[in-house]
Amino acid sequence: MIENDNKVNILMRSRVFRDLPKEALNAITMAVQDRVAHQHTIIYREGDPGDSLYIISSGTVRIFGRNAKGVEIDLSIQGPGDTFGEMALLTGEPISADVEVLEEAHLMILTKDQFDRILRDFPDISKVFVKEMRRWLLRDDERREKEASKAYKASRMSWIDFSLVILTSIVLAVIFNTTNPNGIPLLPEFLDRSSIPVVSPSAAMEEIQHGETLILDAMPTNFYQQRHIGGAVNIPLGIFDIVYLMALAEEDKEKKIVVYGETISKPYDLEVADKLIVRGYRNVRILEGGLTAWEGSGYPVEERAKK
Amino acid sequence: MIWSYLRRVAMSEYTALVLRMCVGSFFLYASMSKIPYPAQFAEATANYRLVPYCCLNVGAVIVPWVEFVCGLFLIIGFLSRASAVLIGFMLILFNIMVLINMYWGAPITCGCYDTVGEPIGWKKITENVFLLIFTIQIYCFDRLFMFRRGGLADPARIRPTHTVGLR
Repeated sequence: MIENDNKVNILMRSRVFRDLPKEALNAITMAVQDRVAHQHTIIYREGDPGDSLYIISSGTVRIFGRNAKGVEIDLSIQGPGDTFGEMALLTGEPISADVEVLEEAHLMILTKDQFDRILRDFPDISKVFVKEMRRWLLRDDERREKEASKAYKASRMSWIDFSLVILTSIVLAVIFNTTNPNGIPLLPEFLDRSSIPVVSPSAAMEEIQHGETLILDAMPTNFYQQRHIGGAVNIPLGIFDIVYLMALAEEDKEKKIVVYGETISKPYDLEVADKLIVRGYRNVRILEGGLTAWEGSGYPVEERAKK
Repeated sequence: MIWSYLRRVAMSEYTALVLRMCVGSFFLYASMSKIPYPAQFAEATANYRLVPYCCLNVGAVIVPWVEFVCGLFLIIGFLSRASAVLIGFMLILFNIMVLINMYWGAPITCGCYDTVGEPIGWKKITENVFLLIFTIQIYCFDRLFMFRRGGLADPARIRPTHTVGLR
């Protein structure tokens, strides 16, 4: 049990009652009932009829609501001197949030009749309630806004969203590609590298020095212009037929030809070599290791002068 | 004062809406020039010398359509966050590819809008960094005029409502 003097002291800490004269506070303390609520006790549930005003003498309670998804949102933590339940008494509406005891709480309870009598005897207290209510409303809204904003920002991406975007793209791409006159096979044609003989850089160099071999650079023109083996003829895959007619059509089919130009993205050398073999050339070989191996062996290359 | 104003503009949902339209249109336009000619786009990609041969054609067929769908979704506001993330991911990948080729000194064009495109360089990198910043802004602040934003929480349902607190 809490002594009367202590109760008065607690009421004097309360925003609602602190401006009342001491006699009034004494009268309230005489009227209130005491209650001890243990930890996790639910004092009010949302929707309960509001029949009493609670004044916290000691301990703490949590006031919380729920959002549309049923997630609990803390509205406030109340301690000694704080009150709850007065809004329902004033408006006659049911309780609008849940109240749970966090730490064992000593509570003073004013019934509706006692509360109404205090309002009648001390009408100025109504002004305090109006001010308090406004403050609570603002604080609750601010808190809910923050919670909502936090939840909004924290909303994680779902793999379903990504899958949906990617799947839609794939389906559209495949359908369009099959009907597109310029469509391409999804998997490129893999030529068998082992079916075409290779020649080492040193052997190729020897042949070049004897003037018996034609070196073909199969890379796109911009790469050829940047760097190529001296004396190499550029025969880009994209314009193979034109260059072939202009530069190679008259060549002897027995002529030794060395092709180079391979990247991780495209075996240019293999494709050009294959086209030459199809056109009847019988001495087509691939430069082993390409331009990199050639340079690695210390043989010269022609480079475009850097600006 | 001016900083707080700029900050407010940068974090505004209206800015997100404008950027959504801009980035969406940009990618829609970029994809339209590549979709009809996948072989040329495959050639442009091969010039980067970073994509394996086996993935070249699949990539050349699908990537422009991912750009198209993401751009369209950004404009209409459907799965805008996933679209923004995918576009951001593509921009990062593309920038890495450009930077590597710049380091190699490769004489290639970007292949971004048409079969020719413009030469790769710092201008292209800067352009992509800006687009990437725009997608981050869209991801964080976009919430206007959309069918479905994406994510687990539905913003419309967690918007606070004014309620009378318990007293």
